[in-house]
Amino acid sequence: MKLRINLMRTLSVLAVTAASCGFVGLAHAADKAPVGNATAAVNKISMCIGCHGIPGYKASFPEVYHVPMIAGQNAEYIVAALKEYAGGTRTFPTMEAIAATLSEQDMADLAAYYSSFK
Amino acid sequence: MKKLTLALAASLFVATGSAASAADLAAGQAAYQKYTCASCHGADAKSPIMPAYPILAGQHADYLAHALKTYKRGQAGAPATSNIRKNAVMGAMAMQLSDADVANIAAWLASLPTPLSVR
Repeated sequence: MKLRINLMRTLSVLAVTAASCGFVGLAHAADKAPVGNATAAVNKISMCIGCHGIPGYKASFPEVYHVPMIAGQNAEYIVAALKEYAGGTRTFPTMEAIAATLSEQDMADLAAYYSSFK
Repeated sequence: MKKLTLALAASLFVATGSAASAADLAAGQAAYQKYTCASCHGADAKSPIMPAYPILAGQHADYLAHALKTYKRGQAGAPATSNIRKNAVMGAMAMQLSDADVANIAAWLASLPTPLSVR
């Protein structure tokens, strides 16, 4: 009987520990990656639409090419690309300059906005 | 007579043009398979195995070709001012591609049904 009570107590302690670990894990993940808000992005797209919102718009150097379609793209990829521009592993003068001005929340909001057009 | 000649020439031109682009598309699809692009980007090029990977289907062909070239330049150690991308996976993949592979793959991808649009 006593053994069973001890067992139950141990199990419940384990369960509580596991639950709080999961909680902390979630909170931690939220700190790392802000949740994007497509509505908030409406005030942040002015720097994007001047190129990406114009049909047929082209960029140059060293190749001349249409700027990519970003509406309908995966949100996580958009954030990854912006972070690469901001961090220097992807280089293009215009995009580097713009990405450097964006907070992680801005990036998440813009990604939520553009990915919502699928 | 002159008109007829012109019409004939024009139809020949169109026929040659479409034949050439059809060959490019087929070669592009074959190269997409050969270089195992589908294993990450999906057979339809719009269902990547990770959401951090891009949808390629229907993207502008010239942009896709440009992107592959930036991966090549990044892998080859070109300076950052030359418009590069440094990515271990895509750098290694892109280095295997000839200029013709790049053009064909980009053309085939651009021809696919897409969720992408200009907004």
